[in-house]
Amino acid sequence: MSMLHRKLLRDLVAMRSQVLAIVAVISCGIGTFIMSASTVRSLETTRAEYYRAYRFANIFCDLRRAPESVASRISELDGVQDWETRVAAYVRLNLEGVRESPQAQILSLPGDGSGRLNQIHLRSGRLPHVDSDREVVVSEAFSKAYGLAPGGEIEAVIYGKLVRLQIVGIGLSPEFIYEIGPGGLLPDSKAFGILWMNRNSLAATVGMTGAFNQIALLLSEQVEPKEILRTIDSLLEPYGGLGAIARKDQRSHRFISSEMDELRSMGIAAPTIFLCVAAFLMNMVLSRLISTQREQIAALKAFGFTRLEIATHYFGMAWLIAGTGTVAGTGFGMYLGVSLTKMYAKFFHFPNFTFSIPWYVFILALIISGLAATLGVWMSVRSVMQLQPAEAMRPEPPQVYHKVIFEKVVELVASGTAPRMVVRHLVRHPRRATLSVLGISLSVAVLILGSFMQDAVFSMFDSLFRLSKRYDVQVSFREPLHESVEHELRTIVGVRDVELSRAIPIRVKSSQRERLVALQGIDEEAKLSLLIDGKGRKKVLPQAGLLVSRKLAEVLHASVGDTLYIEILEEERRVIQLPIAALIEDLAGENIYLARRSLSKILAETPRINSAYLLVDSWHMEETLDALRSRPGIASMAVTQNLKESFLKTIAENVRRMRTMNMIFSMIIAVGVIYSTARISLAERSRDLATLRVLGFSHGEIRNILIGELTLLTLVAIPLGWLLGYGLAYLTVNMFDRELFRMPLVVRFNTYFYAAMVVGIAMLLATWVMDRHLRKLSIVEVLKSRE
Amino acid sequence: MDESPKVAVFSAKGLKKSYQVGEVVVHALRGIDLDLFAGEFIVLLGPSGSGKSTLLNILGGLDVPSSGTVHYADHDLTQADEATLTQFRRDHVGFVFQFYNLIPSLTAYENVALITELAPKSMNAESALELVGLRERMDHFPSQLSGGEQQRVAIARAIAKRPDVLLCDEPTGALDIVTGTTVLETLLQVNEECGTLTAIITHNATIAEMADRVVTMRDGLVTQIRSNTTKKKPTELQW
Repeated sequence: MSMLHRKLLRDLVAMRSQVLAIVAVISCGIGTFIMSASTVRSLETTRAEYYRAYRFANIFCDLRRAPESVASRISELDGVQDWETRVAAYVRLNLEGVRESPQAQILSLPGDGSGRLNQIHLRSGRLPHVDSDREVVVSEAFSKAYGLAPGGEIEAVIYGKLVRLQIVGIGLSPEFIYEIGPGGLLPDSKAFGILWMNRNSLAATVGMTGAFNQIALLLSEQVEPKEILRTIDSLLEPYGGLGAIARKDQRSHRFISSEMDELRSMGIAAPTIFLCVAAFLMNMVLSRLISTQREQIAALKAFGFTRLEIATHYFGMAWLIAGTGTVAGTGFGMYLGVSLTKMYAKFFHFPNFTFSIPWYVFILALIISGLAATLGVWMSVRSVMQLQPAEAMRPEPPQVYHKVIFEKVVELVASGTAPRMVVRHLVRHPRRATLSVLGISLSVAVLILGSFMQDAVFSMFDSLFRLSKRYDVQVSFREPLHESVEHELRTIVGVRDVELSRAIPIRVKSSQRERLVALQGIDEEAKLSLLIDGKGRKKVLPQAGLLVSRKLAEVLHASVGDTLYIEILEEERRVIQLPIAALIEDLAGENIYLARRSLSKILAETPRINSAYLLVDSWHMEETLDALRSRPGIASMAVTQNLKESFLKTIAENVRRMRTMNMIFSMIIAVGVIYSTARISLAERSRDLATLRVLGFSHGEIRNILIGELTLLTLVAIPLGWLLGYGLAYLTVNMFDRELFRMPLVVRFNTYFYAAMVVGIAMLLATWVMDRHLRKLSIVEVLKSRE
Repeated sequence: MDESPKVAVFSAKGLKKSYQVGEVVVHALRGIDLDLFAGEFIVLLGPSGSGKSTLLNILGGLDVPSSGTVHYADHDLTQADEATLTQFRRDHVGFVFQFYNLIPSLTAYENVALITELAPKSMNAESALELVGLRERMDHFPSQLSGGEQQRVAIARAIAKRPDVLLCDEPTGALDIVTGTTVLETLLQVNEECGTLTAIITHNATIAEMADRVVTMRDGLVTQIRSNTTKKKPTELQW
């Protein structure tokens, strides 16, 4: 090892606490980077491999009923590599000891294996035998939720018929990596599952023999699905086609993609914040080091070390710190990645999903941390290169001090030596003071970002469950029913109030854009299911025209006053035109609402409904559920209390974890920045402070000068951090502005307070550490040494 | 003094140097003509601010003059760029500073080795420390050495690469008499044993008595150059 390398290592060891602070900040940055980059990569490759191996389709279409012969016409289309038809039905399950009667989708299997497309990965057991008519495979998530296993039995209500099914296998499918029920926001394995059974017996039960109601296509590579989608729509229209969708709109696929997008954005945003802070700390610490080593540098230059050799020496320090941070960050990132992967494994069902870091992610991490380090010390090292050895031999001239306007203001407020020293020192180093303030404010901002997520989620929870879903049970019916069903529902024991709604599958178009959604006819005077916007405000259904989700309007490039073309995808196909009367800033889904009366009028039908909201006496809940369960016409029932619990269990828990992590992150930033600022300030002024001590100032008095400086910086940084944090929250809200999900921009007062508190604590911590250094400061030594 | 024709190693003509300190322009050199010869032991004498250090810095290739010329053998140091000056220092010059300028994080041995790694024809670091009588203390850090010892390490560092020229800026300025004497003895020993042209800056007129020639400076000008007919040994100097 060369002598310069030895010097490098010893210098770093001498500054170990500051180096440690920087390493910690870099590890956070690299950790978050490694976590998201590797997890995104793992998700991408695992999903692609799963899709390939189990032949996940590119196009999906649901329809009412078509004879098998239609499918062969579709299969002849150009670009179609393979195809498969299927019978699918939504059913209710009766499980022993379970009152809620979960919903399931039963899908047909061809009978001779798991079919050509969207094949099943068997986790245990086997596929149904060819001639069996009661055997099913159950999706893994659902089986786990209820402890089902091959050999067990379940009871299903299929189209009103009670059927006993035998579980022969547990399986997964690429179609249901994200297993979520129709209209659901979050996966709830207790409420929804998938069953596979032989086509013949399923078709016989639901009256689909020789026919199908789902078709999936696998396209040849490089084939654009757009044209094929259009052709399929026109071919299937006479058979009640509900609109073909490409893979990108497939429910499960879309959820995973959206999650990956978020992860990607996070993988850029978080490391950027950390590495900026690290670059700043590096700048602060190394420029200080360089200024104390002026004479060493001059001597090295005098002996003939080249500028490049000396620059490399100092860059080397920065790179070594960055390298250490990268290695530590990789370990940290792996830990984060493994726990994130575990969390994803709860939501995303892959045959095998493990965390791994591709080598290039590590190289990339090295490059970005090296870049941040280089940027951080660039200016200081440049000054080293320009330093003339002869000039460096002369002691640095005393810094030019002038009185400044700001100072005069301070003198009015606080007189005395200490405040004056504090202010002058800060004003003399405006760049560093600014950067310190920025650094501290960033940690405030990170705290706000973390807690804001919690605020947003709880505000979402509040608007969903306390304000919007005021009912206890929602039931949906297999077929549209006359609204007189309301009286019947009211007679059920425990039911205190009933509200009806009607949903129709539609294709909504505006200029060139279209979407497959549901048109929801709701009561104008709704009391149980209210329309609530992101700010928790009640939205009134307009007298005439449509109420549309702001996000849907945006997607359709439409706004209030524009006409939407609505193609009704029920038996009687037709297109109606309706104006958008108002928009609603809601938080989930793509919704179009219309008054139920107007809907019936437009459809020219006697008022019919297909779902009902029930307010139930909590004392009678069990009896009510029992009664509902015994009605074959009911396709599904959702208990609000269960939704609440599942929401809290899944989302809220993750958000809480995120918040804790953010707190740790911002503590690291805050302590790193405040501590480094304090150390440098102490080093720079140890002579001044020692002189003051000689002149008779007490330890406490000189400590107050340093604390005063930190306090002033922190006090300026906190409001700035609030502002920055709000900005970050705003950006996050926009990032989450997706068709599936939106986040409300809610930052509670408590969050601001909490952020200030945490940073305040970090300041006290840094002060305490600094105080220990200050106590060790030997007055005599400091005064003897030549700065 | 031998009669053979003297070879001028350094040759300065009309050297001027001014620089800015804060808001003040300092005229450090106002026109210097000076030749230094191989193997000489030179003392540059003058009060502070007389321009001694500036002259030494220019001769050592640490600085360039504002006007005038300076040559080292056949190198023109006036026109040289940063890289050439660096190479010049690397190959020919050893420096000793008033405040030693040792690297505090390196031991005595390592401080010397830092330079021997740099220069191909250098002696090994141990021999250099042996020469200044510090072989026993080579594993000590600068903070564990006395001022005189530190300066001797600095001398070992300067001579280890067998420089053609040894330039010393107030080498005893921060030392007491006894240690100062040891340091001067070391410098003289190097000058005699290796034949290194040695130039010492000092404002201590007594030291001049051990030099071959004494150059006196005042206000950026050379006011006198005299040769000592009899040179005193460092131990004979009366401080």
